[in-house]
Amino acid sequence: MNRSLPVLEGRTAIVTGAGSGIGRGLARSLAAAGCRVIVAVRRQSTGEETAALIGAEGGISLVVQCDVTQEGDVVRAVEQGVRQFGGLDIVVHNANAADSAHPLALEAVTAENFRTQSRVTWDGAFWLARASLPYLKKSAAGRFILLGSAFGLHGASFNPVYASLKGGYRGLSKALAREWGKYGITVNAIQPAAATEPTEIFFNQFPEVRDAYMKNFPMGRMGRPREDIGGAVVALCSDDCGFITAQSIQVDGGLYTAM
Amino acid sequence: MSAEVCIVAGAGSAETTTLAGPLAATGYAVALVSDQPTDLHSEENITSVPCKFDTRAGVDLAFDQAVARCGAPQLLVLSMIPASLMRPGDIDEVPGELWTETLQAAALGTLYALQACHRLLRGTGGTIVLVGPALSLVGASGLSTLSTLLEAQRALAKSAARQWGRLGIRVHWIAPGCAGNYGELNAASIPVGPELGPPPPALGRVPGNTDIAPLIAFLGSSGASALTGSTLVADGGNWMVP
Repeated sequence: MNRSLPVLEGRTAIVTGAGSGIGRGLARSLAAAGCRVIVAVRRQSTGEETAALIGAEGGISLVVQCDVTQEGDVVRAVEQGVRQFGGLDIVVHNANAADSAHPLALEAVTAENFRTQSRVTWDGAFWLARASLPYLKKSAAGRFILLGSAFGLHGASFNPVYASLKGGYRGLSKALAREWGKYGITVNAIQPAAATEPTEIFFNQFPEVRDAYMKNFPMGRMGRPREDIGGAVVALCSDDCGFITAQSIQVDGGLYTAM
Repeated sequence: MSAEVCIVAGAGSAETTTLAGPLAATGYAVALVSDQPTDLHSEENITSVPCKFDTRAGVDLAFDQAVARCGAPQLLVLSMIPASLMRPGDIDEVPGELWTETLQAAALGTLYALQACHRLLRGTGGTIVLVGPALSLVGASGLSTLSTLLEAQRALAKSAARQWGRLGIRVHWIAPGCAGNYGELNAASIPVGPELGPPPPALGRVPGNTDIAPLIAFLGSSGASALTGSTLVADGGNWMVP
């Protein structure tokens, strides 16, 4: 690799849910690595904030209002980015429904609970896969990354819908990796454990839960969205990792060791 | 002494109902709750109850009918896989409604069935076994929709196991091999095992329902009381998933 250039120089990435939390961290990290980033957000204002942070570091981005539950929005976001930047190399589907972290017993889940979340995660992934495929095929280093969760691996007694949908990503990423390998496109799922604003709010309400949870991390802390999770995504998108596909990768400081 | 009762919920395809007979052969009185036309009505120890699995109330009603006819269950088996998801097609060829409607209806149907299981077992404990082809553990080209559903069901089973364990409810996932068990998948390209030796599976054959039913019965027995949340790959030794 030529270390004199940023590792992803000249590539274009789209990141959904890039207006806050992990998504913002990923967008900033990819931009810092040389990507032109399509900041896909439901609310334009949050995207502008992310774009300002990227711009302050000399990065290039395009904010596109995009409700990932809507096929038309996703197609438009991809097409707009391709028109602006000339192609698409990296797709990162990070968006989650706003209520995805709300505790709910399995027996209390309603169809509305499920669909509110599945429209963002599953439908978003589906529309993104279809809209981006023609461009990823043309890329010399196509990458499709789903932001999963360790919950999808081990289940979650207080959040079964989220766990189930993220579990579905494992199946989807492996199937798509097999389907798209012939195009040179890698497909992986990242399972992050990162401290975000909702996490902090939750832990501030339940400090004893935080204390117990932190003991599970061999590294003694949760991940940082940009440095830890973003760093892993940048690495996965680099040429060095072009032979890694169909994997569910834990980026969690050693939280989950049961693979 | 009356036989123990097993409710088999089979939805979406004919293959999902085929465990009912072998489970009855292990000694269970079986109630088959299904949206499939079935020719099992006349078999001894199998009672059929129709159910569309499209609303929670409808599933609850069907399960209640099963209990009324057979008695309270100790074992519930869920096999819920739409036939349309087993027909291979690359993701850019998948009709939008197959993803946004069929897939999600199947996931919701599984959720409703699990909720009905909880309602029946919360006072007594018991065992729930979800069943789906092993392909999702390794992925299969052209089956992205099915792979998504199966892994979602498997994660849901683990969440149920975590949440309901203290009620004495144990929940498992069994993944049979595809060949011979899921005819709808005959047209699909199912990846074979990764090693260079004799062709998998290691046992020389893919276990069928007559092998799977005793395994399910074991999970429902006191001998399996230490297990919950497990994934058992019953494919005769193919990928040997960790």
